[in-house]
Amino acid sequence: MRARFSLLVPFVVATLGTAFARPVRGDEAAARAEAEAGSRAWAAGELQKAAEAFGRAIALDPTRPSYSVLRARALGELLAEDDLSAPNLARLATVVGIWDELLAADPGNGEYAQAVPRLFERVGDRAGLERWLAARAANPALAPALRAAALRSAAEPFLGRASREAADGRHSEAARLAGLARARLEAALVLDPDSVATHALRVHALEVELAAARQGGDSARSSRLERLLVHARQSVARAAERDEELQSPDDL
Amino acid sequence: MTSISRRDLLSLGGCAALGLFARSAAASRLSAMAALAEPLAPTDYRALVAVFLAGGNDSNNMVVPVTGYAAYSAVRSAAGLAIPQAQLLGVTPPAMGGATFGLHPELSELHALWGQGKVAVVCNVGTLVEPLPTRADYRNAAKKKPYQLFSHSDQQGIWQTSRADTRVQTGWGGRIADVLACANPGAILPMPISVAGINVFAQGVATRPLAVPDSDTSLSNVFALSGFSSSAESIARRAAFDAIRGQDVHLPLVRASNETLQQAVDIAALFGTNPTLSPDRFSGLSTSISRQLKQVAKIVKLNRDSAGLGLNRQVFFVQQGGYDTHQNQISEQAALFDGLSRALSAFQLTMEDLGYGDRVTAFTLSDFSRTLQPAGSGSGSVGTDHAWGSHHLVVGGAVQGGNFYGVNGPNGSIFPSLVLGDVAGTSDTDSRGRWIPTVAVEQYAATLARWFGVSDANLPAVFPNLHRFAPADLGFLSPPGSGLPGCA
Repeated sequence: MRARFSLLVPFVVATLGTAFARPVRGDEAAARAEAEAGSRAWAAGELQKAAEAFGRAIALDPTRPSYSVLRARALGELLAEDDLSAPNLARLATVVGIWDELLAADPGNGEYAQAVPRLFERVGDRAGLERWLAARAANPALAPALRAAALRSAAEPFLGRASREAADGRHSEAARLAGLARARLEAALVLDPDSVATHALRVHALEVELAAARQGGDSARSSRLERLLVHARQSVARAAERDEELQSPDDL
Repeated sequence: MTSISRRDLLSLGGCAALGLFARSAAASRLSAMAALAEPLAPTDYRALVAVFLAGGNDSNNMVVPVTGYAAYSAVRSAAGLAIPQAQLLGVTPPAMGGATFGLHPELSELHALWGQGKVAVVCNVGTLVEPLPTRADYRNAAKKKPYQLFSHSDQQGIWQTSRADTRVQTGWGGRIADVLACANPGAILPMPISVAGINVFAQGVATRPLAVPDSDTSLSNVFALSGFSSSAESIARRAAFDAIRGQDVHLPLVRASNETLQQAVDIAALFGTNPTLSPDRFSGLSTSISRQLKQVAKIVKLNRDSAGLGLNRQVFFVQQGGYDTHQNQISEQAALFDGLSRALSAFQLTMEDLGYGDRVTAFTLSDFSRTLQPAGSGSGSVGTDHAWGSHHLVVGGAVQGGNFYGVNGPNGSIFPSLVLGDVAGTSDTDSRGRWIPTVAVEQYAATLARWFGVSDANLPAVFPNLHRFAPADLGFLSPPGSGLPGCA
């Protein structure tokens, strides 16, 4: 089996409960009933009711993180889109706080790890997302692959903007943005040197930078970037070779 | 000048094209669909990507209950077929009342997309002629069952045609293209494109799919017209080749042949440039499913960037084989899921790069699921046999993801109880864990079709048996039920 971040820390829902007081049996049943009521409310599109029901389930049985997950999901759906008002940002902070707590208790959980960025995007808080990703990347308690993934996520918007600038002929700005992206990607590769995806994005960043250097007639920089690009492409191939499962026999 | 016969010319130009491209020989049938297809094009773009898991995917090991793991483990652990609980990638679907589940450990990229709300699971889907809510209904001779249950070829056909009551020659992908022909006015490229050969899924009444090879073949080489150069002789030969296609058009077979050839020539011109994906999210991936999805991504990009294409709706078909795991399931399914997960994730990321993250929806199909009870034992050789209802994945930005969808079964849940035999609340056909589906293929497909733009008025034309099942829309796509203006 490949060693990837999702497997580094196993799924430990069952053990999370040890951090909390055990509910009595009747409370567990009542909590389940509340959670099921929350699910019905969710299905009916009544997200506020769902969040409240999941909240009552947590109060009755705090040992089950799944109730917190469901409450966070419902609260996330209640966030107003593209709304940077103080109340909405406060609600965002609450939901992000729940996810961060869940991830702190189960640092390898991919479901928790991926839940937050879309909340910032929903609200339209790009700066907040960058701050949050930076904090995650710097958090030594998290698995290196997870921190690397945060850095890669932080690089992606710069790459996207760089591609658009390049398409519009603004090569200098494209190169600046691609350089910012590449710095993050290279930091990610220090943490997770075998990520084919990160290596591939670095190739893309270098291609944008090289195009700008050629456009600007900077032959010295072009030569240096060409060498880096050759090396980066080889790194993609080497990372793919190291990942045995990428060499799976054809199945069709 | 060398003498070249008309037949030589046709075979010369058509040799590459005719093997790959099939088109309707009955243009008159177009008129039959004209009443359904009105000429008002939408301005948005949407695509459906069918991912067929050929051989019958064991979805019992794709989505495993964590709450209630004991029931699963009781049947599968002793034979070495259970996925250890600690390896499962946990998910908490809001529909399940706080119960937790786990995805197969090799689906980690899809698990990440789950966390982003871009993956949903549709539970216990299968071929049905009419609802069979209980085991007693299944055993009731008066109730209609799909023909040739548990047979690969028949069940594959039913999944692709959505007709469990009879064999038909059209698939639901092709019939969607029939009723939404209005979405792509004047298009040279057909709406359905298969990267896995010709199949019934993409065949319509008036629509014939285009079949293209995977990304190992550049798009510019798919219909490359060989045998012509810039010499005077060659130019004259090409002019004759073009002119000859206008002759004898009163003969139906000749006309059909000419139309097919002309369409191949036209598509060759459109495919003249081979788009590159930048960044290439498929870097390092070499499996067949990754190459197929990469080719789909390149066609989507070409369509986006080419005024000559300008399609508003596309349907794609790709396939991953190898799921008939009577033996060696643990290792073989793990390898397949690894390839599937990486390829689907790369595809979704590419769609997001193109700005189409919420306009393209990929979804799985499969012959059937497999028996919960293992066949054989020992993790090196244990497998499973053919079964029925299975769980399926839907991937894309329009997916109301991070949740399970379905219809409640006899246990009061959309997820079947993993208990064998004739026990209250279970839906086993016999004693080996073959779940009677609670969601018909029609419901699953109609949900996708409605999102794609098929109006409620046109749903019966695509899914004649849909009226037997409720609800028609399972709600896993947003916005649901957005009928295409002008195609109603």
